[in-house]
Amino acid sequence: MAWDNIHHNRRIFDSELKMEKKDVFIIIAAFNEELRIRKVIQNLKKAGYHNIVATDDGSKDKTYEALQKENIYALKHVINRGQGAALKTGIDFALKKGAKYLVTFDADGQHRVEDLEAVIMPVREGAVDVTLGSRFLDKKTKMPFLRKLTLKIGVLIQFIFYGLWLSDAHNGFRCFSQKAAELIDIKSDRMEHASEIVEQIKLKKLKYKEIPVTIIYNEDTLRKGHGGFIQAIKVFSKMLFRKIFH
Amino acid sequence: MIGFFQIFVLAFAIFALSRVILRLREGQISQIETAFWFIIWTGISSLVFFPKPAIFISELLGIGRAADMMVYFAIILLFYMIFRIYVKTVTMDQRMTQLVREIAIQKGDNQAKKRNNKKTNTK
Repeated sequence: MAWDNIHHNRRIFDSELKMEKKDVFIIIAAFNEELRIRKVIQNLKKAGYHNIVATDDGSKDKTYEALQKENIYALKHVINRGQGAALKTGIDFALKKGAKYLVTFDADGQHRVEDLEAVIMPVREGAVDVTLGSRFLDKKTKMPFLRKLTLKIGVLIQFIFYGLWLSDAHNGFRCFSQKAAELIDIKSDRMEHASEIVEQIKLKKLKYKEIPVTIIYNEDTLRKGHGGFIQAIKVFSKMLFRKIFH
Repeated sequence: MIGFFQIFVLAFAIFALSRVILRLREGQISQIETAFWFIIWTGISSLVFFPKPAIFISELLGIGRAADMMVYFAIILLFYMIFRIYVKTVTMDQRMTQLVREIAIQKGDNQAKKRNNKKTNTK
């Protein structure tokens, strides 16, 4: 009888978990990720996340065709507009579908599915409106020194511009509540959208928390590496321009 | 005395004005924009042939030479026009993104509906 109760309770717990995951929408912006995107989506599905909105940002390869082979919401930008624009497309689509929790997740396999629950939990519990992944809250992420230095300079610049002291300047692993996703209006198309999200969190007085996440780097992703220092300079100039003229 | 420079400027101004009239006829510029360019090119031609007003204004403004004054005004005007063009470019870029995003969402919506209909029909 005791075992029956345990199994019964386990079934209730599992179905509650499934119900909770139904409210979670994973938002992915993909550009030229034909080789990696299906594995990323399959891993998400194995973990029970089936509401996946992936936007192909005008890829030159067969990313969109790869997305269509998975049973997900596959969107396509007819021309490349940037990661910020692709995420906003995915977020707006998910909100139309009734998403309660929206998680932005990288298309290149750098984010771990195992970190999802930790990122979603504080938002689901109502403790915060936004969680921001940070690769610096634990020591699990290994990265080149120059990349680390660039990100830390980014943290300082973000603090000077927006008054928010974070440990990770540009981490794409985030969870928004429905309210936060509706309030945050991403206008930047390209990589500077990450800083704009931080600015909007401050302006809209949203409650936020940083969560330790592990970023998996490999040769491909390091090479792709958001353009490194030059990209960081471009993002900084756009931040400065927005601050002065907007 | 009419020299080579005056003739060159006049010829160029006539050529520029002919382009302006062509663009007006094609509907690519408005009447106000046409009037603006008309004033600019006739003003430049007039000053080249009758520099005394320019000399008077430059002395009034405390700028040494009329030619220097023309260059300063030209630079100010150019910077302003660059700013206007920049704003237009940014606005167009934003509108293009909006359009691309709306097309993507609409198509995605339609495909999701088709998939749901297929599932319902299969059942």
